Amino acid sequence: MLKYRAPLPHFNCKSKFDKIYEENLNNGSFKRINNRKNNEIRDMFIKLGEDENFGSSCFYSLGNTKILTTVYGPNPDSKYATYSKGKVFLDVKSLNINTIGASDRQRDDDIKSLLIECISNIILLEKYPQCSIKIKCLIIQDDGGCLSATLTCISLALIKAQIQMKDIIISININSIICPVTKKMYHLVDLDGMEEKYYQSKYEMNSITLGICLNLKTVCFYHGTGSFFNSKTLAEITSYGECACKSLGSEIKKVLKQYTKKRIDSIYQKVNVLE
Amino acid sequence: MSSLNYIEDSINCNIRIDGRTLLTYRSIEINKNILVSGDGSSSVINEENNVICGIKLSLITPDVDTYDEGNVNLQIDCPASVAANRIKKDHLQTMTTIIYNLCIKNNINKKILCILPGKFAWSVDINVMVLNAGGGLLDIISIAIYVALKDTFFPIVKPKKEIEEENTFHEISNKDYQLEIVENEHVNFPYENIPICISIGEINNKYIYDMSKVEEELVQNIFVVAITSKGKCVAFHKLYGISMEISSILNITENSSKISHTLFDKIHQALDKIHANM
Repeated sequence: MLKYRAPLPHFNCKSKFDKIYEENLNNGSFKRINNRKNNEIRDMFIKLGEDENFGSSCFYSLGNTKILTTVYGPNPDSKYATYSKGKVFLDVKSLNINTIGASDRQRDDDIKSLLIECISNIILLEKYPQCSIKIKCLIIQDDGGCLSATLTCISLALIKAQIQMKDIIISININSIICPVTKKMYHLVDLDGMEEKYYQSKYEMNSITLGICLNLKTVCFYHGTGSFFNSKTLAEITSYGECACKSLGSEIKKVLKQYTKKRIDSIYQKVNVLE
Repeated sequence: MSSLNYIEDSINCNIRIDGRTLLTYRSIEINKNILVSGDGSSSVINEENNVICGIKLSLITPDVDTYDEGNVNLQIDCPASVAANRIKKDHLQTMTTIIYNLCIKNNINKKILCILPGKFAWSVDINVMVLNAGGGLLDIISIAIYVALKDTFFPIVKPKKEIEEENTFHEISNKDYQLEIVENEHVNFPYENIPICISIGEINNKYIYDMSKVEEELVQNIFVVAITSKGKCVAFHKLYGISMEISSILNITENSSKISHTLFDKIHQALDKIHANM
């Protein structure tokens, strides 16, 4: 029995995160705990489709954050919509197995309340009088950056549903961290859930969710919480986030072009078969 | 339509239809301690808005995940039978979320609200009743919450440990606690870091503070900034419209720190008047 015992760790053994933390303090640089660069975005996957109830859907994942959005409409609705303008209804749900500690319902209502104004203003509601558009979001997995991923997913689902919009929205979250020794500020793009919890407990952190109209180059969503905002740091953070949104937007444009090409090819095949 | 053009032209000439400049706030009437049954209360009135805020403290058992933290809840209501100018329920929910995220969520140290970890903690319920709603309602609600939290006092509560005597199992010791309130002593609510909201409207590249209801319908973008009494910007949210440039956001946050000093001075002057009258 004695020979099967595992050796105990040494008394000053440190975890991997603490090693990276001490390395960041000793050197002047900053290294993330998951070995990404400061401006690196997680892997993105988009799938556009339909469901059986004639709604258009979009599945959007950014790393391990996965969102599914379905858009129904525009449907005639004489009860809620006014004579001159349509109305947008947004419903956000998240699967209950995801969250640890946070209250599900309150967070879903927070996301819905923050996003409904932005979505209502991006859609040309004057084109749909006496109609309502229903948007349902399902947060399948939340690994950080949930608010920005939901906004991008809604925008892509509205494109799939061919609802007339002013522009496509690309959204990203940026976090600013102050090193406690050197007082230097680092801007990190697209944190995941583990990084969010760890940096929140170790450093003083600002968090900004930035949504940009891709072609108009204007800001359509801008939400930040933290403790040390001023105009100089905001200028740095915003330009950093703008570059990140542009690079993410170019990737999304490629995916949409491929999707459109597939659709056109399938239409031509059907025409050839008929002839 | 011509009256709207008239308002736009006057804003381009740096004056508004009630004679104010673009940066001036209207006079605000602040009352506090208006509800004797509440632990803290306030009432804030200006020309278009009338808001009552009440705060109630209660003892709860904290959750397992946040065992050493208290709880802060916010609810904003607009009763249909009382209010002359009403808001829709969806807009109220949006305003509740925005004020909770900007003013309350990260700015109250919830560990102070804990009495005994895992056993007893304070739960702070903030109820805001909107009796009249016009332009700039977010500012008035945040001022009401700030004044009410400043008026809130916690009684000092000390837990006493007692061991139950009827104990059949020898090894298991059942322990229970009783709370004892120390009379005539209380501590302040930690209100120093609580910000107030300043909403800024953009119309034809001009920035309007403290918008009236007509001006709120005219503006193209609304930006809300939360600033503490030390002049620090702790949160912001862009509320309306999609055509805001990035450079204008930086101008707005810079100007808002200056405006917030005058606004806090107004609040403190009103509170000093109340103290002088008492």
